[in-house]
Amino acid sequence: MPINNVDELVSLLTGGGAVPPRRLQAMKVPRIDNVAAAATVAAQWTSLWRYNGMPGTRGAIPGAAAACDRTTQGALPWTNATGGRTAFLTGRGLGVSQAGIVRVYDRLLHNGGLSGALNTAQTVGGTITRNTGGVGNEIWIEIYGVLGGTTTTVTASYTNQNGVAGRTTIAQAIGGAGASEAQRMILLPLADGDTGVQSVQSVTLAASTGTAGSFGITICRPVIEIGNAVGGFASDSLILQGGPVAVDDNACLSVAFLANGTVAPWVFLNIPIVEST
Amino acid sequence: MAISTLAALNAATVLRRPFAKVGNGTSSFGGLMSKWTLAGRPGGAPATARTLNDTTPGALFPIPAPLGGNQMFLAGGSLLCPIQTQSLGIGGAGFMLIDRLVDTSGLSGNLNTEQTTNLPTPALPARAGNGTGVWAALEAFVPGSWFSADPGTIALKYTNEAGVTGRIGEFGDRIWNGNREQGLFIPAWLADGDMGVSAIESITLGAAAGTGGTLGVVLWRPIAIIGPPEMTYTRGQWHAFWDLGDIPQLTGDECLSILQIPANNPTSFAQNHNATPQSGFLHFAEG
Repeated sequence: MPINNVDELVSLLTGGGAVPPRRLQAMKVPRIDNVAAAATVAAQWTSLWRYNGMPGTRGAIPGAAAACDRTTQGALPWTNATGGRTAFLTGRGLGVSQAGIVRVYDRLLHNGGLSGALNTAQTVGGTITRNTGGVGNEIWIEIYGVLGGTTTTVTASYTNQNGVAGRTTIAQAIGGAGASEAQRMILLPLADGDTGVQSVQSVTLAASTGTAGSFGITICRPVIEIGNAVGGFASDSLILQGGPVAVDDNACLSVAFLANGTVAPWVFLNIPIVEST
Repeated sequence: MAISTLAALNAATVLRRPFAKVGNGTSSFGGLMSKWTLAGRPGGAPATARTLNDTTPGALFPIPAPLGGNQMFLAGGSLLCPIQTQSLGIGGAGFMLIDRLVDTSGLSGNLNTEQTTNLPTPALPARAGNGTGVWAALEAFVPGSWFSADPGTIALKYTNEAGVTGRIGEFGDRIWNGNREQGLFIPAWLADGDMGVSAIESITLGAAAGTGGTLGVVLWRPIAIIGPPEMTYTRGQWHAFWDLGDIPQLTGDECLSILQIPANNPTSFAQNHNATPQSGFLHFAEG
């Protein structure tokens, strides 16, 4: 254990470590390019990557597949651990305007420019630069421009945690209500037995959704989640919830929201960070 | 110096300061509400732009100076929301503790030209550094008929943490839903890449929107978010801050204030929730 007990936690939080504790403090606002963000959909994930924020963290629509890091425009602001130490999140303070679950994740790789009107394989590619073994990484569809209203299914071809290429995700619905709106995120479950992803070769729709729109693939590694049943401020310790959470150097921290309703959320984060060996 | 053990932290937690604030008269679902002006130890709209510290009326309380060069930490807190107004619970026990740095007033909700009354804001107090991590907000100090119509986009012109002037941000997106409550507190998002605000230069409403009102801008910093792990039915709570994975250090000059997020739609209930009265303590440790 990197932080073995409460005494060590107290010491690190009051400045007893090699460097002072610091905080990731950020806000995401449901505005994109100076217009209101689209409504959320209950029980569906919404990406806040493109939301405006404080600090100024509006992410851009990606093009060709690219690895993301903490300097990518849109990443939440934080600094790497120093001196060979590891950065740990020790708490999770959340404010959210709507009921739902907020997830902070490491955005390992993304691409955009894929079409919702093609039923042939569309290339993804790219190389992740963190958690390269792949265990725990997830594949998500991320919609940037509204897709068509015809529901079909989507799969991705990927390389699993053992380096086996040509694996296929379990088909998920795409297009139509709840699976076509901008900022929608759709998790593509891995094939039976797989525990992670090293890369995604391609993505294929079974049929056209009726409109090209624009979507991409995002490879994510979850970091923390916190739920809020009615909206408001909530907080708790991570050390009492299974231990502090290590964050890889250069992690591109971003936010997704599992909505309980249709009003796009404001999200406030206050996450303490300490360094330890 | 650091406090090395939980026992030492408990032993050093010797200063307890109570606070109390009445409920906001009204509040609206899903936005930040400030308790700055409310009875308890009420603050007001400043006559001119000013910097704030722990002795400014409206701050929760003056912070005792640490002894002998010690460092001051927030070690814990308790909070009570004594009114539960509907069966589903109010979710009113959580709040964000903030440090108000600078505030102004004299801005109007009924102008669609660039407003510079009492702006730019004065220099930040030393504890805020160059503005990195400093947030901006628009605050309504009194209830009124301002924003009785849609003001459209409310643009913010500011100086960023690097001293670059003329940067453009925007206050929120929900103010034109007819919300005109005292304490409405609308944080600003910033231009891409900016890490904070060192001064606000002007605001511009997209449209004149009712009468003037008493609006101002605030520069502030979050200190902590304090609430239950899951915001559901809680009416009161006590936290040791280490239990939140966080023990914020203070300089002793912070102008402490409280923000809340209304958790229920006021149009659905007779009373507006999360604008509830609150009282409690903050606990300080020196080390």
